[in-house]
Amino acid sequence: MASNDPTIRFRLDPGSGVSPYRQLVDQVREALVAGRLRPGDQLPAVREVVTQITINPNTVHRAYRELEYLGLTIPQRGLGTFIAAGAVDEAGDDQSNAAKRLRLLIDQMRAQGASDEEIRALVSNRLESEIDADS
Amino acid sequence: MTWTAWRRARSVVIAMAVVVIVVGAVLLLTGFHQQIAWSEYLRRPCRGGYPTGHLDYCERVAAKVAGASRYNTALVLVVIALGPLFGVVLGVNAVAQEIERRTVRLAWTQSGSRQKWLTSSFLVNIATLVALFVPLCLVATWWNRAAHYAPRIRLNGFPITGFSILFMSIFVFVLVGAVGMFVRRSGWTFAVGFVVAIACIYAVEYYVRPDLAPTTFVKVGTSSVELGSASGFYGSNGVPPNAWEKSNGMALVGSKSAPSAATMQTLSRKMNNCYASPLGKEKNGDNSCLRKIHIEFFALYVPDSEYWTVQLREGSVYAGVTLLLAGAGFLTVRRMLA
Amino acid sequence: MTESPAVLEAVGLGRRYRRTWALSDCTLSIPQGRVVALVGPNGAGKSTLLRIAAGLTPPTTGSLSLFGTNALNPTPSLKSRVGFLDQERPLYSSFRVSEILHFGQSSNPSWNMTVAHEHLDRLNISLRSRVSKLSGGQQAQVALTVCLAKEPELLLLDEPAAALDPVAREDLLRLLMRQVADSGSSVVLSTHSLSDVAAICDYVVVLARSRVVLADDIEFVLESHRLISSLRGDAAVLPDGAISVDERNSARQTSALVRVELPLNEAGWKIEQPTLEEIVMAYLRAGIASPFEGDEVRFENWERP
Repeated sequence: MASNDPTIRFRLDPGSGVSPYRQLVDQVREALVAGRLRPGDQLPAVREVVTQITINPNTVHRAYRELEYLGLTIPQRGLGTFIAAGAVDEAGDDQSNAAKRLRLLIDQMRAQGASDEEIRALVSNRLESEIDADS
Repeated sequence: MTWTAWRRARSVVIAMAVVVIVVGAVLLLTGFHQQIAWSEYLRRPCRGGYPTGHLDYCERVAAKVAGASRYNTALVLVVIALGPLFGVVLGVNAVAQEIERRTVRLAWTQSGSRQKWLTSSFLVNIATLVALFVPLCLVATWWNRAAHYAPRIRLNGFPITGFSILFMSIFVFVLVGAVGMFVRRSGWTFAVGFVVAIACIYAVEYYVRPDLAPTTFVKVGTSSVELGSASGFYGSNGVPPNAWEKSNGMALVGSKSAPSAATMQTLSRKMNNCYASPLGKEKNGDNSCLRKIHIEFFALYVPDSEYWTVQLREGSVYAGVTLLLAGAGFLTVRRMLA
Repeated sequence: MTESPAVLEAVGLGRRYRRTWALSDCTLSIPQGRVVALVGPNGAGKSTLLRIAAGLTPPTTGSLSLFGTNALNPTPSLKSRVGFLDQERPLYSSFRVSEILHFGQSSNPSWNMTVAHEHLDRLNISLRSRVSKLSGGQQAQVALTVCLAKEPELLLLDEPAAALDPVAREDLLRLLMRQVADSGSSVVLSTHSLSDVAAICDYVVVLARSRVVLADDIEFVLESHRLISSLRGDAAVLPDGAISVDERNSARQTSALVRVELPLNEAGWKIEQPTLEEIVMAYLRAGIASPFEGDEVRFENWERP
């Protein structure tokens, strides 16, 4: 049973083009990085979330499972879902993880014979089509 | 479901109960009033007539009786009309209104079956009609006697006495319920139901009941006038008081039952010929002709003693038709579109 | 994923009124635990489908089963597992709210009065009010409460959000989601405006002109459809693996919403992710059940989201 003061208040942005479950996951990660959520904090129960925002409970379940998979949360049977001990590092690490992954990708493409210009064009194209999808 | 059926009908039933109480009170008041007036008229010196020496007094007393009974026709009409009226109102409320307002879609998607819905509806409303009309019928039957309105076996007395009103109302209720399943609109069901109900009641009154009533055949020697029993109704033509005279006419001496129409015509022709003849023109020619052609007058009547038999038979007819309609309703409701 | 039988399974379901087919050749298999958006213009057959599923209307052809049991002429025990809310949300207008609940309790073997009171309490609807004195939104809530309090495994709701102001609509949808969170029931709700309910649905069934043109998990629908456009003016042949749902060609551009069966060769095509509304619109416009099959469909009275 969540306390009177929920540890996090979710918000859904229907026009953002990001799927609801993704938004929930992202909001938890942002809260972790910003320090609003700390290890040991309990995430609101699915029922609570459904009271806060109009969302399918299955979606909340999926988001929570994704957070578990990412190692950010730990479920405790009968009690709820809690932020895991190393979560802040995990979330924060993602920023530097992204840089690591990008370097890996560029190395792989060069190994396949792509020139710098081709790599640049591919990235531009990808971003452009995402922008179009968003608008 | 029983509770729901009752709760739906509740406000209508309360209004009906008020009407029954008011009408019952009117019947009681006018009944007592007339009973008193009649008893004065029927006892000495008047004895239901105008004996010499008491003409003025008896005229006044008779006028009092007439005065007390001047609303009778209207009152009887109102009381009898309550039967089909209540039946129609409850019938529309039970079926057509639920269909029209789509609350059947609410009722039929709960756990019970449609047949159960229909059964509870029928039973609750029929029980209500019984509760409303049994007291009213008893009061009306008493009133008929107190007001000396009509012999109860006769056409004008039968509907206001016994349980005729109850049978009619139950039949009309089920009829209108069944009609509602097809018409599906309250207003139209009310109109169609009312018309069909009146037509059926009329048919029973004039075509069915005469055939249901056990009759007695009696020969009349001469016309005689007897003062009836305390009902104040005279017998005539050999027909006892309080009986329902269905027909009278001429028959051959020695016959045991009413003659056919053809025979009556023949006898009538013979009588006319006789009247035209010299015999008929004599003094007391009428009786001479009667004796010559061997004719007697007869009367066909239903005695008062058969009253409950007729009530039972007519009640059974109504009950039978009601059951058929209810059966048809059950078969229909299963296949109905909501 | 579906070891349990489909919550709603229809095969060749059809319903004819006089000479028009309100629903034709409807074949669906909806897995348990979904919140299904039943979408289509007015007259597409949504209400007919729901009423057949609720046992109110017998179909002309075809079969339908709920929880694996034949649902035509449903038994009382099957009906107690299904909650139905009609488009007109009928209630006995002279009853008080408490009497409506009493009706529900006396008509259903399993009835949770606590849940009913809780819902109405949260919405500030007094049990003593008469139904006729409540607003349209409040009546809708009461009608929905009757459905929910019998704790059904399947809820069939005909346009529950229609004619409600945005606040009332949010309240109603949240009420519904709380119930789904608590009991895991499946929900099928019909709407002619997808955006009203898109936030809560995870399965979509699109009806157009009495036929099913699309029925699938929303996630899968999103993943398997793309909006592609080519800057070449000539009527370009679509890439392999792309099956056209709806095409628009102009002098300078070919664009199409396609279903993707194989990974697309992107050369010369711009590929974008369409929104669910765009996908549904495309299917409605085209009126095709699956590629190369079906009639041309014109839709009337379609309200744009």
